[in-house]
Amino acid sequence: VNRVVDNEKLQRLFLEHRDHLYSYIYALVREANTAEDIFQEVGVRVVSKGEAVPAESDFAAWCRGIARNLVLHHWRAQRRNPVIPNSRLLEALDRAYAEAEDTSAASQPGLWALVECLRLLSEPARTVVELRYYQGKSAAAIGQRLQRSGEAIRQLLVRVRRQLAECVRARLALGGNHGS
Amino acid sequence: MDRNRLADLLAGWEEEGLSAAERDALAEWLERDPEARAQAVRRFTFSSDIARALRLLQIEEGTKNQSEVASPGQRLPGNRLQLWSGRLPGGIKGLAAGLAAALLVLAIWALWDGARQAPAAVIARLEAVHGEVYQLAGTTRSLVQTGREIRSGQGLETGEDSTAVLAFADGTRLQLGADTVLAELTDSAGRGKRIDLVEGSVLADVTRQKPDRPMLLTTARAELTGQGTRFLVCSGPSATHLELEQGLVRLVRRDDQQAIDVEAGFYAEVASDSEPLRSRPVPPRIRTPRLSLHGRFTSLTFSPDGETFATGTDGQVDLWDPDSGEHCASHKWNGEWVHTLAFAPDGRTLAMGGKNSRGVRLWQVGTDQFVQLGSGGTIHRLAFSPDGRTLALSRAQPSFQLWDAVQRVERWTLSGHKGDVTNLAFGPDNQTLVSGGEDGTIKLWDVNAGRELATLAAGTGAEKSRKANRVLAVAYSPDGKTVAAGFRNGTIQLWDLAAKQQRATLRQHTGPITALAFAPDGKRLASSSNDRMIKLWDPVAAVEKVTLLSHDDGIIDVAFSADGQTLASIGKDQKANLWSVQDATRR
Repeated sequence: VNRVVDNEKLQRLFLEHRDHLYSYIYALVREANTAEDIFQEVGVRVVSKGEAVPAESDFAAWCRGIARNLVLHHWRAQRRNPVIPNSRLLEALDRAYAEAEDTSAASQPGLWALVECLRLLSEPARTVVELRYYQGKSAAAIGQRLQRSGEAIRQLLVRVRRQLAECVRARLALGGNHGS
Repeated sequence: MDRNRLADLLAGWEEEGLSAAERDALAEWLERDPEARAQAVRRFTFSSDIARALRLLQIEEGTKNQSEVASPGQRLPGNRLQLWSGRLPGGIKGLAAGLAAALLVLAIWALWDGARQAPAAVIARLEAVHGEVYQLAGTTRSLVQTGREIRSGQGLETGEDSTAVLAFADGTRLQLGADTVLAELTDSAGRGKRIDLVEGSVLADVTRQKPDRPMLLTTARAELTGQGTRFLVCSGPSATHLELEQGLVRLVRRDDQQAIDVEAGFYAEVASDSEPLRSRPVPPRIRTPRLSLHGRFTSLTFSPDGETFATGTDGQVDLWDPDSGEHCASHKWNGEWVHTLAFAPDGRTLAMGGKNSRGVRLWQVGTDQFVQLGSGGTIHRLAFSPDGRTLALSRAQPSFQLWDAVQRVERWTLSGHKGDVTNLAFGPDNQTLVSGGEDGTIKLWDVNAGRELATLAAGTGAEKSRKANRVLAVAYSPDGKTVAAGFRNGTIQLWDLAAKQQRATLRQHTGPITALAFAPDGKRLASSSNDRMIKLWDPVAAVEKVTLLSHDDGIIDVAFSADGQTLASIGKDQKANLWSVQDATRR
């Protein structure tokens, strides 16, 4: 293990990989609040390991390893409905994120463009998006709550995602940003 | 390869809707297809970006609506950061690690840097604060004074004797009654005002809002939307009561989404039972008593013949003519706040007890003669049996005593309540007595045998605390068929004694019930509350007939005259009011 002792470097590395790391955690737990908790816990672990941080080239994989262990621990701790992990799927997702390390995740301007685009959604569409991506409710559960079929909610989400992606692209192309 | 099928599997994984076989199929697909892996990362990254963007949007708009976005126990972004920084010391050793931690905190903050750029907006200001009022911000709870600004996402809490008035920039005002909790207040251009009333009461003056963004007030049982309206809403976990003074409010029962429009002059109630949702006319209000006296009154009672009524104050008991308001006689008891009075049925003895009393004093009315019974300590309540043979007294204790009023000896000390016995009332048969306790129970007792007969209630549900379930007042109907009990949470329960079952719950008060009294003919039940209101009810139909509004502060006690024509009330506003019941109920 090559030791990283430069704290500025540690910060830079974490900043560099945080979006991918958060996306990876979200892909595993699929619920925003838990993803944020685990993301922060990874940060705590990274700091507490201090001098045992690996080389730069292994940093992202090392963070994902910590995150994965925390996710497994979280799943086991689910009292009501413990999740039985599919190790093949976890391996495949890990590989997918390892391969995608070089591709860029959302930039801050991209994130703010998304904020603006979410603001433009109709009230019902935004409610569905919040229930799905913020609270982690399934389409069926959302449908039950809004007295619509789960399939109708799924189709709505497909349309809304497409709409949001197009909106973000258009805003970034126009140079749209937060506050515009 | 069917990309739509892959998209379905990825979407299914996201919402945890895949079977084991489908999870295997997805794993296999990802293992063999690099493009599938790239698609998976793109999809999940976009989903996580949406989650992050929603968070930023909510922070910016201050529209984190608890009912739609956050479940109880979830934390605001601010708390998350506090937790993050609070969590660090346990995991970090040494100065170098501390520095690294600080840098990492900055790095992680940067993930949510919009939060720092857009602090929650100020949405309202506390226009008036009486007593202890708390501002709720995340996990913190701090005392506030008049003038304090309230930011989006913050809440407010009033205590037993406190109230607050919250004013929004557009002139909308919320008057919070006692024991009220507003969990999260938000006001944004996108969604309008959102008020989450956890429990308690709010008198809302809502100015005109944007047509498509009326104010939304949610309770455990209902959702209210309105604008350009004035309404009173009282709510607990089991019921919501809405009363309209002006305008119109749409009321939605959350259980079944049934909705009605409630107009000015009407009220509606949403309870846990499945009664039809409908509005009814608000009972009339009378604001002028027949007679009003001034003094620091702490107790009152009518003489059995109705010719006089007695009031207790600091160190003195006074007798008054209820028709003219003339003072008839007085009895000094230096150093004692007399806060319970009971006339013996023969009208010749007046029993009195107080906060520091050296026992119960029995005064021979119209003379200088008196005797003392028992030992000292706060006495909550005194009650003579209808035949005058027994005197019951409750102290600040879980037990109470029954005295032989003729021999003047104690007969029984009755235990069973798990908290102080707050109130007592004899049944018309002289044999039965009802007691109410701070433990939230109503108990029936056999006076002759000195034993408990039954426990009628164990609180009124899982309210904010056990305090809310305290029984503060009890009354026995003259026909012996019904017991009424008033709770600190403002509800009144009517119990059918033959069936030992609760017959009705009356919810129109917004503060603790301080006293209950049946009219001698049993056709009316009077209730008083800290909410400054006295209400007269038809106890058979369990409907309110009239509200008496004249006191400027909480009501301490009420009593009917022997002929049932006059109702007397005393309040913390240092007034004793006499009301003509006939006038009040003829409307």
